[in-house]
Amino acid sequence: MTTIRLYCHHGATTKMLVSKMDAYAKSNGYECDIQAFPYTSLVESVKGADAILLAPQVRFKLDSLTKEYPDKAVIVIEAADYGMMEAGKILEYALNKIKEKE
Amino acid sequence: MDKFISKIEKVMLPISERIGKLVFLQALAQTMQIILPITVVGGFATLLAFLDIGFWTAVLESVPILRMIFMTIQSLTLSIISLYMAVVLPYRYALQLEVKNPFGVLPVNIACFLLITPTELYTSIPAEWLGHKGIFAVMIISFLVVRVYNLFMSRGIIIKMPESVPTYVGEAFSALLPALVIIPVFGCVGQLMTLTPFGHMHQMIYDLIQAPLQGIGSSFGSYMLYILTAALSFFVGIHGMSTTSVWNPITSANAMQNLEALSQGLVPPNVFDPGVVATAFVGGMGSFLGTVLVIVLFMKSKRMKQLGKVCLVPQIFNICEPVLFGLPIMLNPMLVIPYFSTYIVNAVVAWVTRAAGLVLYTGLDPSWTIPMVLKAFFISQTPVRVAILHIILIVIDMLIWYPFLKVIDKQYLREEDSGVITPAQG
Repeated sequence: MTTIRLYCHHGATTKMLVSKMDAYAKSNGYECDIQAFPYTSLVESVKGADAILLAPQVRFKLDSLTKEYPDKAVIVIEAADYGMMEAGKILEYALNKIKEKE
Repeated sequence: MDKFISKIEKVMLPISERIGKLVFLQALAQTMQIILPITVVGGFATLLAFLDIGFWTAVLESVPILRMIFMTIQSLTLSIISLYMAVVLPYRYALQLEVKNPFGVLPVNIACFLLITPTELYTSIPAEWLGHKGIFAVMIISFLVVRVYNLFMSRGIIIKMPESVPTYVGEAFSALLPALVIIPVFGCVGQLMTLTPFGHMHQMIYDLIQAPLQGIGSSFGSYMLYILTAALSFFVGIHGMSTTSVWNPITSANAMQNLEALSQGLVPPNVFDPGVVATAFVGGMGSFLGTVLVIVLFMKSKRMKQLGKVCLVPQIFNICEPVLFGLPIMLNPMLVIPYFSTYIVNAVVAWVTRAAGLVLYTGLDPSWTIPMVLKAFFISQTPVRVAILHIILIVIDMLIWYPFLKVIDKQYLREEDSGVITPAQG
């Protein structure tokens, strides 16, 4: 089971993306636990995550999070992919990054 | 132009990082969100107690207790909102700081807040300082109490219980030592303040901090700076909320003051409140409702049509990221002019119409996701006028965006006709 957490400002746009990523994961047979939260709830929700995906609008958190969570893959989603809600592309990228980490 | 844009990005990124680190502001924003049910119920109770529509006035007059019910609800929710904040804010702040045993700080904080409030021993706590006038006091107290509490917790200056004691009991004891220090200190400060010309600490915080800050912060200049900060942030692809959160203390205090004025049958004194802001951002903080409508209604290229499909539904609910990153508007030199013009035009029109008294707002915006126009009925006591204002602003925005989007659309059409597909920029 791969655990992925997405963060944006309100957790609204990322929630839309999560439902698409879930559908993509199911149709491809990936076992993933994907959830989205506002980044203000990061501390409470990040436990056990393999990857932290940041929406581009909170990308300024990248440096501090990379330092704080060296065991997790911390990724900023490409703006164009995020805008067009390219769930598959984003998930594949995240899974690759997690593999690199291991 | 490109140089100018990369300069904006270089300035805005560190600013938002800096502000993003001010977790107290995040905690404050969450607190206002959490106590929203209280403010919304209180707001509706206020409206219902004073709503001046023929049949409703008749109902209120024939059943006198009805107005009493609404006014009691209002007086024990909105009018003592600082007390609710004194419960929620320290907890959210403690969570943000990752304080151990964060619940333990709540009763300590409430005690400290009440200790600086003027009271009549054993008989009453005057509601005056528990309402909007106490907001800055509650922020300052919560900040100090949580910080000091955290010092005790992080340094391990606590009464330690043997391992065999259940964690539940242990936690209660861990909050004991900080409480033994913090509460008497505030008790002393509260009493010493009665010897000063201010009479009590609330008056001092109000006179020296809240009143001047609210005065400067509520001005037209401050409001435009707020709008432009949001605009600049989104332009570099950062959520505007992360930078405008420095205004949270002021907009929160303004909103509560307006709601209280409303409950006394007065015109809300502050123009700059969540209501006017909700109108100024036509389609959420990104202000892209007009943009997306132009794309959906008038664009002919496949790329634009595809984009319209992705963006329309989220945008109706004021979620602006798809069009921001998808078009992209972010860092796009071709769209600088319509982008900033819509922000400025919307903001000025929203301010002028409110300042002139053509429209009024309650001070509440129950949820930022309520679609424009419909939103009028949640934020205003003159909803029909506000709805018309929203429609006018949407049309103005569409007129501003149309020529610029048309140029891009034509370019896409040419590319699609010639079979050359350029990859999406951004």
